[in-house]
Amino acid sequence: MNASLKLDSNLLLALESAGQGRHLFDVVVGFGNNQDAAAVTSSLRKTRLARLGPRTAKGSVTRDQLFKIAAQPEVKYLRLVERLVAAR
Amino acid sequence: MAERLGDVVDGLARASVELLLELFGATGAAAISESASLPAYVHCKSAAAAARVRDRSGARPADASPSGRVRVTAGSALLRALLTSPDVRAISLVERLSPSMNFAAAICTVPEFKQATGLTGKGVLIAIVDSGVDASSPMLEGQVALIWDQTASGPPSGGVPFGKILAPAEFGESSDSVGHGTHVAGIAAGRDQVFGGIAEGAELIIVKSNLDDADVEQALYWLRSVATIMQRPMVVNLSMEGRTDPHDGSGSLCETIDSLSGPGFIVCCASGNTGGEPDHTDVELASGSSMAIPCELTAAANATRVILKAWADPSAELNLALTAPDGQRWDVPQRSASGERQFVARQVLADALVDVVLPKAEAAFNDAIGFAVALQARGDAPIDGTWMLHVSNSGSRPECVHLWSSPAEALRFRADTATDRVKIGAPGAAVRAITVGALVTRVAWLDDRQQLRVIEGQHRFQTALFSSPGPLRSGHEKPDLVAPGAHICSARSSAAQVPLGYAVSQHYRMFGGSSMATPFVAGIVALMLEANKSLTPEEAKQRLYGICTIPGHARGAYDIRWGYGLPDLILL
Repeated sequence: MNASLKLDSNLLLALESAGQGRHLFDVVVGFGNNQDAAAVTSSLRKTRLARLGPRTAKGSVTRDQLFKIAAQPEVKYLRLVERLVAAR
Repeated sequence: MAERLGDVVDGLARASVELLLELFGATGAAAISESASLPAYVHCKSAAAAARVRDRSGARPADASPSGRVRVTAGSALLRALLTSPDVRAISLVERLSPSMNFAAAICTVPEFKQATGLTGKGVLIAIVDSGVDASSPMLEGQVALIWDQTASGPPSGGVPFGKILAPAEFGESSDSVGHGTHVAGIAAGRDQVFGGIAEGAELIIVKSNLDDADVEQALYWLRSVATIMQRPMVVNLSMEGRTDPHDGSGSLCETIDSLSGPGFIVCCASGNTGGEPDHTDVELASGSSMAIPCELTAAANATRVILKAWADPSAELNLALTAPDGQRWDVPQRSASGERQFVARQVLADALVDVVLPKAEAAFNDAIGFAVALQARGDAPIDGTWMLHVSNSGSRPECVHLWSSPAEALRFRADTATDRVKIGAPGAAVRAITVGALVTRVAWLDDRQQLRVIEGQHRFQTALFSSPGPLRSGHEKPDLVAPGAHICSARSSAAQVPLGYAVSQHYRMFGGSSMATPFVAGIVALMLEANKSLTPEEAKQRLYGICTIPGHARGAYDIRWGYGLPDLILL
């Protein structure tokens, strides 16, 4: 699967907008299961991905790291972290 | 003909807030029938004036005090006339003493229910993920058991991956400079004779968060473990909203809520406050048809980047085009000039740089589905004018496309296109969450300067205009119910600035939003969990649906704004 297919539209827009410069993207990475999440998170130590839930991890990653993560077959999706707002 | 507020404006300053509400309601139109009588105190300017008022109102001599106060039981016509009488200094309603609950709780018969059952939320944990808490607030003193301050800098402590876990002795290290979380906590569990919360016997677990959705997810996992370790039932309050998720409960935050929810662990979420905003549209496209959607950008919003986020069926075959305000049209190509498939197409138009994320039919997960259009100003000037988004369906079946704009104040769908439904995003879209809309119960109050603050355009006992309507994009019914949310008096954080007119006293303030309705229901759920520690979200919902009604409808009716209606706890 093409790695770009795994990126949500917010992340694709952020990548396009940021250009090629060094920029950190706050992302959530989705996996198919807990084992995949554990294996990929530990194998990509340099990305400093941290486990979030059983099937997710999160981290601040560069463009190169982002595509390296997306290229892993165990990775199902990457999405940009969204800042929620208080409902007031 | 009904007298209106403005007709007796000279007498307004003499009327108490409660009397104003009884006489004129939220809109200024007469709120009570002419035949109804109200018990009131008429404060007169002199003994002679009191005697005249007493005679005029038919009160007994014993009803007049030496200080010039006359107790009357009078119809609205007489009270309105007395407001403008030169004999009268002020009129206030005789207070019906309610020993521990405010008006919002009373309309849901919370005091009666608690008195009948003895439930206070004892033994239950209420978790508030929000802007923090002022644990020294008189309403919350002794209520807070633990704080995870996710925003605390420095090395993490307390076994969390970032931020700090604070025990009661350390609560001074964390503050609530926004005031939202403190107010929410007060509604859920605050202790106070007048404005007390719903479940004052519950303990509070606070997560101070910057509201990044991933951090909220992390908070949920942690809270689940806290509930497990402490072997206590927990209800989690999420008074927040997002806008860029699929609005169908399939986003990862919603999936996390659904996966963690279960017996003794229930999540209550705000419906959101985007009701009435022209930030959403949904269009039905027959096979082979196309539609132009006008998108109005206003320079007043001063936005240099706006985004349209769209969702459709993953297998939809959609083609996109954009027309700039100057008439320049761009048909968005699916492939690059060299024939390669592209995921983002970019075009420089006269007024903006346009990026379009193309629909990806084969994406496996919902978080990767959807397309988007971003307009980036080419200079410092904000983007302006009416843009047309053309969407055509080249597939063989009809398709429905939903679009949301961000920021909503900068990009608005034209009135004939905007649709005020399907507004509930994450986390309120989580199917297993109890999602709460806001009911208007108070539209006027006296602030800390004793000035009357009146909220225009909101109507008592109607859903707040801002309360986000459902259903979900999948058709799932949301919100689940409504609760008092506008406007509510509760705890004020000492570290927060309060807008003029919203401070009621040193320790109390007003706030309005589905944020305020949510802890009201979280408190109710805490009472239910005290009675049944292994209550599931589904059981809680069914029990709540059974005591909810929408005015003028039979019980069990659903509405996209009301959900199943307002709960009457005494029926529980």
